[in-house]
Amino acid sequence: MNRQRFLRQRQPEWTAFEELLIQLRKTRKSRWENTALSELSRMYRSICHDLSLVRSREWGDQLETYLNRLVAAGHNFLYRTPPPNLWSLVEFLIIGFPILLRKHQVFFWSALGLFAIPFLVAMTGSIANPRFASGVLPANQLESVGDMYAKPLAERVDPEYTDGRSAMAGFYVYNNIGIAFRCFATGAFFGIGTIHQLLLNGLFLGAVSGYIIGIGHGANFGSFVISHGSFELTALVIAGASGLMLGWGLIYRGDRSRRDSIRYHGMESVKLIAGAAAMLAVAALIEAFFSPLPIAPWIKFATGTVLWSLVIAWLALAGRGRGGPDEG
Amino acid sequence: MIIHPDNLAPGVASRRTVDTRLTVETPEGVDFRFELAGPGLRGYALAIDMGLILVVVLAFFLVLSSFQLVSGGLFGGLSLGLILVVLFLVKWFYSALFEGFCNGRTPGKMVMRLRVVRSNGTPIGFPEAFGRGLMHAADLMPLPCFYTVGLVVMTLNGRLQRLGDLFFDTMVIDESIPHVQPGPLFELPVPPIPRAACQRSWSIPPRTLATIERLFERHRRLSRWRREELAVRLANPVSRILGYAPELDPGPETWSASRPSGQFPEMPDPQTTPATLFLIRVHHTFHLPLDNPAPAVADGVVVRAEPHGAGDTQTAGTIASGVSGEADS
Repeated sequence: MNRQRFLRQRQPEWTAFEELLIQLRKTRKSRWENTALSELSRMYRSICHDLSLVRSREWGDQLETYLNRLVAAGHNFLYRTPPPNLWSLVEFLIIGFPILLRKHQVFFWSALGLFAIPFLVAMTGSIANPRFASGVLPANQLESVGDMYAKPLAERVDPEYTDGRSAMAGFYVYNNIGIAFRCFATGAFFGIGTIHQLLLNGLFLGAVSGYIIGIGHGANFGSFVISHGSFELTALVIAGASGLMLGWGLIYRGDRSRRDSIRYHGMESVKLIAGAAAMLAVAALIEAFFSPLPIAPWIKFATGTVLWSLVIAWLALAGRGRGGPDEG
Repeated sequence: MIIHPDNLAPGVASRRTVDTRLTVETPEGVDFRFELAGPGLRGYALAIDMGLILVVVLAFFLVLSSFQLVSGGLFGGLSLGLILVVLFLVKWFYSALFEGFCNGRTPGKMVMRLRVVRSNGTPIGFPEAFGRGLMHAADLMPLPCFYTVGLVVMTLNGRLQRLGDLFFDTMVIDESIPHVQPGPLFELPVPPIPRAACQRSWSIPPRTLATIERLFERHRRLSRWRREELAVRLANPVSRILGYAPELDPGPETWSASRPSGQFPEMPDPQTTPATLFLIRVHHTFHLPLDNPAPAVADGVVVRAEPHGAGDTQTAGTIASGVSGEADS
């Protein structure tokens, strides 16, 4: 077959392929006809064949680029990722996420250590001696935080309360989830950014809590933080875990190639940070609307205890016996 | 060989990869070529996206504050909360949502005709889009000088990937290059080679024509002197194949007096770049246009075997092998 005959024979199919592709792109997915689809994939395969034929015969770059473009368009159309659906997202958040976290729990425990050790050190230090806290944070800032917890956070629930709390909910979402995302992303620098964030957060939070307990507002402060702390602190540590995992992919490749290792750790850790973000959103709602309620502290402590047990039980137990998600 | 200052242009530097083309092999065993998008194009796309975000956020802010004026300030806290949530979503989910649901394109990328794909060329899904969106936070560091990290990382790998691309196995491709066009040089109105001037044969093998096409392709940005140098090497064997006798060819001489050079600044000059001109004329004379005016049904060969059931995989296989069998004969 010479080039001219080849062109004469095959060109109608190329045009037909182009037209079918344009037509399928215009119509909605639910209206695609099976015959059209199988016709498309048949034509796609034979055009792939045409392209390799043209390449091996060197029948001109123009023809080659034209066919390459056709094949690329077909490839992009046929090899799609399934569209994300809401149910699989919900299922991931409830079951897949705890399974994934347990699969990579090394990173969780490391992040917990990096956060909890400076936290405990700063807290005990500040309880023993308020000067310790002012070494970590400026004294006037500490005082204003301390004053916040000198009396109950709200007197009564009225429109003003709801209004002010809505603003705070927005702020918690913006600030806390933003911090978690940054904590994750900076893990790309061999985990250094994440480690820095974890240590710093542990130190600051420890110093503040220690200072407040030290000046005697501990009960009020504890009743405020215990409920949302269950989701918030856990999610912060999980965000740290995801960042550490991201960085670990760069450092240790195991029996994968470097590129594969980076990719694998990236894809796994992004799911962790997504789960942590969802947890932080829950925490923001609790922190904004429940934690400052003017109710007896023991109710808050009871709720807090229940929430902590729920979070721990969920992360430790959900999806047990199902086996891990089958990504190896 | 004459070394002209134009030859030392940075684009011609001899490196392993001289351009931004990337070849990816599909499961069907076909090589795809992608044009990778560099920091310039991606920077423009980013700027467009930022502008769009600014406009949308401002509009949202205006709507909320006018609503607040009407309702008398009761929703002050609520609207502040809403604004913060919107800011949060826009900051972290803008590119994730667009790239995840619009097949790898944010509005800025649509304008610049860029697309995010996986590094094997397939479309990206939501997790990748979300992840590479988050990694902006790392790529744009250190803060006063935007995207220094991203830029440096891009230069260090062969696929122009920033951190967000590396970790989630994506790359940004440039779809703006019209693949079918062979470049402006081939559209110049040059006189064809007269048959009388060729004393040996009157045909050029397609692969030689393909080589000429490749030499003058648009995105090989060679200076005209360098191009002429390369053209000389190709023009000699071509004129030997044809047995081309310049004295029998009045083309360039008569044509040079009247050629419309002002209209076509790219026009090769018969005095200074004769080999370039010659090769373009050869291509012009011998190449087969893609849209062949020949009749569609020919030689009694039916390509599409409809009666056997269109769309059947088995049929597709037999057709494909039928074509190849005939091609090999």
